[in-house]
Amino acid sequence: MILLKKINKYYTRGSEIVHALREINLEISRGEFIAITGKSGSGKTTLLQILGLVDKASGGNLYFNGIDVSSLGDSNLSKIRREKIGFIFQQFHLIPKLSVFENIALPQFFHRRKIDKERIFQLLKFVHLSEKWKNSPEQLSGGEMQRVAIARALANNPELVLADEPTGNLDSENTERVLELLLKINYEGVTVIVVTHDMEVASRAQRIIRISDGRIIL
Amino acid sequence: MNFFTLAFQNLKRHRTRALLTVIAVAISVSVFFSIFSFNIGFERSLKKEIEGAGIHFMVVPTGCPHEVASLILHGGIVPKYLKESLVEEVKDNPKIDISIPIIVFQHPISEKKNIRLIYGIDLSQLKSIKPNWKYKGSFPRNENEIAVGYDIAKHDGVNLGDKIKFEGRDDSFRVTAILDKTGTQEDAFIYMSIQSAKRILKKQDEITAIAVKVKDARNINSTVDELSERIPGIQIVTMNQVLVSISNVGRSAQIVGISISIIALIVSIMGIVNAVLMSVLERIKEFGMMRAVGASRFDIFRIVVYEAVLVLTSGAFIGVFISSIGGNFIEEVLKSIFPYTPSSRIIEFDPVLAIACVMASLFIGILTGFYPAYLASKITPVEAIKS
Repeated sequence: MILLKKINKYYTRGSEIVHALREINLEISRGEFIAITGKSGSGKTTLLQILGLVDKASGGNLYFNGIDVSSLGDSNLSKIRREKIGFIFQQFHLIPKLSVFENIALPQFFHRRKIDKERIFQLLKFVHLSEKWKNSPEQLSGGEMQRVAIARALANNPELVLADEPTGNLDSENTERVLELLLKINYEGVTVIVVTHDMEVASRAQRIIRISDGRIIL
Repeated sequence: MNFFTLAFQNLKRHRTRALLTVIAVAISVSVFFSIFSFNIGFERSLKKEIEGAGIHFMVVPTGCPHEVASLILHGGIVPKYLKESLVEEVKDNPKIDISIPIIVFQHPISEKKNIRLIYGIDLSQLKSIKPNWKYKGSFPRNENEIAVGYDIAKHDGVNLGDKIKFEGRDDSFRVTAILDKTGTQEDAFIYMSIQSAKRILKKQDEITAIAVKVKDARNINSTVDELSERIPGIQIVTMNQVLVSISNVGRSAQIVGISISIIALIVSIMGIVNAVLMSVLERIKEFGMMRAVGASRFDIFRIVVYEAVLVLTSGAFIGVFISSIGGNFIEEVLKSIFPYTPSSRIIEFDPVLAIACVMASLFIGILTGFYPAYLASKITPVEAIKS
């Protein structure tokens, strides 16, 4: 599904040039559950950004479903993101003045599709928040907010779900619930890639990719 | 859900900030709308007042033309007088249709002690230069009868058949006609025969002006030239000159007013740019998230521009509404600033101007939202994931 060939990523921090990813070669098959782990600053989030087409590599090629997306423009990348990829963030990033329902519907809205209410209620049921569809995010707990974010990531039936430290702000009970949801999503055929510090979370993945100093270590 | 609801929901996040910005816009649009309404109404009312005079020019003693304008339209105390014999000299010109001696002055009414404007004129000729006048009762025919303007009748409670005495005179005058409202200064005059006016003013052979109507309006200028050449010591002011003269006096005040409203508008535009910019900077991660879930740069651009448009257009609607309901008050304030204003109602709701104000606000909203929207659209999804 995804193929990375000799991916390099540089960025500047002040006057310093940081080599964030070095010659990354990686193949991810459809339906995998992958955990990317590593110390802070190792390059795992940069790798997730490149996999999610929200950042561009400085060198190398990235194939998504067989298409080299390395040279695609912003609008084409936006299209792939909204059609194929779902994002889950550590900080949830829900819009406070929109209801739970509207937050989940946001990717469909940007997809210029009529809001599929049935799908949204199905997702609410999936994340066990059917009763709270009218609530605002401010009325939810941290665990509930992350479940809304998971439902939002699934709104457009993505092939790939990327989660950046999805349990980083949650207690153990909510961590377990979120993990169960991610496993369920994966069970239904969606490829899931999780960036995490938490080895307990990583241990639930089918494959663990360890990153150190911008390199994949075996 | 649509782009407007997204923009509106964000404005609700900072209600006070949004409300203050809307108020600033409403005030500046209100000032702008009022001053423009006043300027448009000023020219219209002035023209109506001048045209309503029913004459082509006035022969007056030499002096300031603005004073003459004031005399003709508002009444006043004129320090100089013309010899009445000049009326015949003016009449000798074959191009002249009507030449009517006029005395205009202020005088107190005995019982009420109110100072009123008196317009002394040959009553039979007055009707010929004011053919469109409507009135109750019958038009005065002799020296002891008078016609009263609408405002005076209303203010002093004068009815048909009432008798009015003027200070310094023993004889009284019977009100035989009360004019319907004309909406001009004519509503504030008492009309009587020129002989009676002379007696009250105690000026037997002197008059304040000669109102002249020529047979053919195309000959106004040549007639003026001929009379000026032939009769020394007079000044002739055409009604067109009066119009231009008063318009010029008012114009400088209008320019000041428009300048103030433009400054107010610029200040509120800066306020909007600042408010929207702050809002964008506070939501970098949110825009990043939207980009990550599939929003295009243009989607983000639209959300931000719509916020500016919502603030400006709602401010414009409120501003126009305030101006419309507060038109009387605003008019009184502006009348106290302007050196000369027609007495009729000047500020009237102009739907075309109101639509123009709202459309202009819409356009400015797009422009003011442009820079913050451009910045927002440049935010990358990485910004959200970095958190």
